[in-house]
Amino acid sequence: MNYEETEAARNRRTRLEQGYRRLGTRQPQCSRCLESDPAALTGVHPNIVCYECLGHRIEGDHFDGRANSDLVFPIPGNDHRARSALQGDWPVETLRNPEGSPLLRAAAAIRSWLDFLWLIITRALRWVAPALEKLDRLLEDRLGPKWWVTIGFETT
Amino acid sequence: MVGHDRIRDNVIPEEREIFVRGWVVSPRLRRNRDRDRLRDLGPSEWSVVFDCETTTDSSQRLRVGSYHVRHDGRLWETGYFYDPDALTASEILTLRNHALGAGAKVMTRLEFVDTVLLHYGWELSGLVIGFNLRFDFSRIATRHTKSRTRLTSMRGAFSFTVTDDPTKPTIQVQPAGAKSAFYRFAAPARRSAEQRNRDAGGDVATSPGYFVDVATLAKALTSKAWRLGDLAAELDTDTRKLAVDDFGAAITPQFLDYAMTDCQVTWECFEALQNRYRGYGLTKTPLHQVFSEASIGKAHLRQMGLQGWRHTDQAFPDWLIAVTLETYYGGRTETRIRRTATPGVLVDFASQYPTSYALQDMWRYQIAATVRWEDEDAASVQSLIDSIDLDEVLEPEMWGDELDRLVLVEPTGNLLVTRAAFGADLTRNVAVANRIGGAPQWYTLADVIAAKIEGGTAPRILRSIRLHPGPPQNHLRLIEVAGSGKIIDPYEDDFVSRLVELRRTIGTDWHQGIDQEAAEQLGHLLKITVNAVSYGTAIEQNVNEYANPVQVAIGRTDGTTYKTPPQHRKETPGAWFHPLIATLVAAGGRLLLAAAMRLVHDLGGEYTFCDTDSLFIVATQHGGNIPCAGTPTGTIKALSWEQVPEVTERFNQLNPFDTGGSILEIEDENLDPDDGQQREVWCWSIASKRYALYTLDADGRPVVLGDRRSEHGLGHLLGPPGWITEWWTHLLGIELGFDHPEPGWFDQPAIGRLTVSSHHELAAFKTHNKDRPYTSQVRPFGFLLITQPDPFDTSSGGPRSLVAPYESDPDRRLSQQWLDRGSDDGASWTIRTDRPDEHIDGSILVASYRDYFTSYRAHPESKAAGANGERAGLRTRGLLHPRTIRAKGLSRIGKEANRLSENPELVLDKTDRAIDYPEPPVCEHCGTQLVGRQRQWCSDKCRKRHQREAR
Repeated sequence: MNYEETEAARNRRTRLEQGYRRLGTRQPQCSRCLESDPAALTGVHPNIVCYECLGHRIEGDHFDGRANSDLVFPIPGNDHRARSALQGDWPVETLRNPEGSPLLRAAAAIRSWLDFLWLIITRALRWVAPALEKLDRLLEDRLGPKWWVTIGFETT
Repeated sequence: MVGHDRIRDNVIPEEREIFVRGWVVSPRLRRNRDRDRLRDLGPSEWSVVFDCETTTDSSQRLRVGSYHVRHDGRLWETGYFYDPDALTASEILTLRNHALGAGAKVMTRLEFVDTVLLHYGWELSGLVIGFNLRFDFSRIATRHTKSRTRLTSMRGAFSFTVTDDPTKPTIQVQPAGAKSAFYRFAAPARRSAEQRNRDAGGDVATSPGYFVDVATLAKALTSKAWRLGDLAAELDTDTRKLAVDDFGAAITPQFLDYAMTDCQVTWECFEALQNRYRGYGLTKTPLHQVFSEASIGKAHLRQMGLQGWRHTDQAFPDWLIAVTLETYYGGRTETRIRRTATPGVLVDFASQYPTSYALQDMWRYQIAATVRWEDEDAASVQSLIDSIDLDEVLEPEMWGDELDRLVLVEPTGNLLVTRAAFGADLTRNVAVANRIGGAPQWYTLADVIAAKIEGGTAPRILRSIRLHPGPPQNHLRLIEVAGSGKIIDPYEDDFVSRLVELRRTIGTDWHQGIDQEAAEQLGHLLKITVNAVSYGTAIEQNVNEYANPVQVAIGRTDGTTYKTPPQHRKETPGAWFHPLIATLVAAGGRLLLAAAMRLVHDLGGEYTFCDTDSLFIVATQHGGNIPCAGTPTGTIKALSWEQVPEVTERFNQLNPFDTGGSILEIEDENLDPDDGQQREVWCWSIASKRYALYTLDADGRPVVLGDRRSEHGLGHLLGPPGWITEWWTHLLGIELGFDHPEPGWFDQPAIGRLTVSSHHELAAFKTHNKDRPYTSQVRPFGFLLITQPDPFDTSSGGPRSLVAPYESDPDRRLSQQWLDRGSDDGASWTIRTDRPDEHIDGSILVASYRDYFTSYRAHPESKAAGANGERAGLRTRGLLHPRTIRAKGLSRIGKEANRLSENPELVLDKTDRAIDYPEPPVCEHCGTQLVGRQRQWCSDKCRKRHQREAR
């Protein structure tokens, strides 16, 4: 059960659903590679392709947002799309920073680091949680709701 | 004896306007390629279940609600929401403390809408689940308007604003029957498509949402309306509904448990119904698209890869659809022997419409991509009709080879099915009438043959159109019936026949070992599928309400069209609309009934009533004469019980199914439940659809037979439990001469319950709602009470019907304020049923159950004539005859749009009646259609010529 819903989590879910609707499938995957992040995909099912396979191998990423610094890192195209999507969760003032406030710049830098860390963690480990959940469901169907007791697997 | 004095000589025909169904010329259906490209993903893994608990006063405003959020079926979050203005501070404290202990969230109504309902339901495309969802949506709304969407199916729907955020959608609710509705999240107002697309990340449409009303779903899958508690018991859910004594009392932990349990029970019922539906294997139709039994039928057609006929046949002309609809009538219901006790035997055509469908091999038309037609020689059809006799009608070959014809006839004194306003009021009824002269009219060949075998004469055939099914649609798929392993090939098998046969043999030669409950469920699925496919879906026409009146283009049978005066309602054909199937199947049903009547008459017998597929044949154990007014001898002949099978067995050869036996069956009501022996059953029939079957006890007193008593004209009233049987027992008691005591509730006002499901019904509360906050107003889908003032008050200009907010206590109904349903001037009254001779300011005399009873027991059978040839009035008893009619003119109408039409007593204004499609006025001189401000003549020249000629 969920007790600690954050605005960011809600936004991520919403963005994911919008991506699915845009791509016309809930199980999107690049038809040429294994990329499955909706933010990095374009086209409509079944003709879905990722930005890297479209030729955008490396793109320049404005690390703190275009309005906050000129610092640009070259990163893979798909990661750039995923990161840009995460910037959608930032407050508009921080992202746009029209007056150039140094505090908002600092906030943008922190948010960028957090986004990067999030991106690294999720893109590296994202598949693990759904796989465990699927396995749990499978075992529950096969062995009953307390399957770990049935097979003598101690959870402590 | 052909006709058996059905056609009476020396009766001067009455001139009556004849009504036929009109064809609203609709644009050809095209595939929406844009919509195809953005294909529907279906609901995501999220679902929101919610339920509202309301106050018990007239506003029925939200007090507290409960919800579950589930992900892939697993509980993700639970919580309560409340209206801060409806709860006291201590109640809110109770709520917070209870929620804390239960691990549930607490939020206001607006927070619930923004962070739960619209987040999971709209943004995440989750499934929104509830029990009577339309009521719940109305409770959480902050205002409503009349939808002006371009989407045809949602025109005139209620559009509920549920949040203050202008970037969030409204919820549109379009009532689709007494218990169901279509739901949709509508794009937020004032947001351009480009803006929406950008927000959504590109080329993506706003999600319309996915909704499942468990009450609607349960009714669709079981053909029965349920309360949540009863449904949970039926589905044997783990959690059951709790009981609460007083809904109006202060919020308590027990009440909050009750509310949360409702949510859980709703979810468990949903899961059980979902599992049942999954077992049917109808993968092409998701659960949220099941709204009625007809949806199940359509789901089977879709599963086979069939497309609706109007999608595939672009060449079938509009004038021929107009001809086809002109021949369409529903079931035949009539009383032949009125207000006279008659013993007899009830017989019934088993699966009448599917039988008619199978006999005429309608499956060929169902799967055909096109329907071809040709004019044929009218003289040869005339000779076919003139030579046909009952024996040929009882041959299956005639049904398969001859009946797919539509004929233009000139009535010459024939018993033809007729739709007219037979009575003093404007209600149109369908009856078999003796038609003489008048304008030619289109009929199915089956109806003309029925006229011939029943009345002995056939009308003159002026034109005949023969129809043929074209080649079948491509790429149809095999279908497995309800996951049973039985495969049906749409190219080889008649789908309807196979289903009927499977249904009759469940648990015998197939599906052996199936348990009783599963067999019942499967049998029920097959039944609703068969009925929907063979008839229901083919005549589906949806009525849309328009905020601004529109002119409707109506097709004439000569190929021209005309536009009606502007009106607020218009029909749109359903996706599986196939009027040819509908009219041929229904006409086939009437032909079967006419054949049975003729067989009874040939034996010298009579019947008391017929009701679409059933007939009550006058019969006693040994036969003989029984008293009956309206005949020269004062008696009619009753057949003997042994003679009745002579009638039913003649239908053996018409059985199109491989299960054998007659399609006309003797009903179980005729058998004693204790020993299975045939018993004497009696019938009392007042008018069509108003009859009761009964037996006599040892003292000769009537005992009403179970549910074999009509509820027609009564079902809308809120009497005490079991009151309809008590009503009929009392009616029969006094009609048969017993000193039967009046029921104790006869003095109470006769009050019905009405759900506010249209803008018109809500308009009566305009003044009541004025200056009240929205949450305290009478709102859409709230419950109302309705009653009818005494006829004297009505005739003196008083209100014709009164409505009041729902009140369950009969005593308090007398003291509450009642409003005029037809007016929004705000005048209100209390009601009374006593002191009829007094005038009391602020009080109005309304009809009591006794008043209703008095008019009900003598309800005229306007569509028949008594022995004197006059319309069967209040005092007419005994044998009735068809009315003799000369058509004065032909008018086109649509389907009856409102459920109240079934209760003529409450049909009080124009929105309750069938839609009229009147011809536009024409110039009195040259006949040119008038336009603009023209009233009598199209030009000054015509006016002058007309006046000159008149001089």
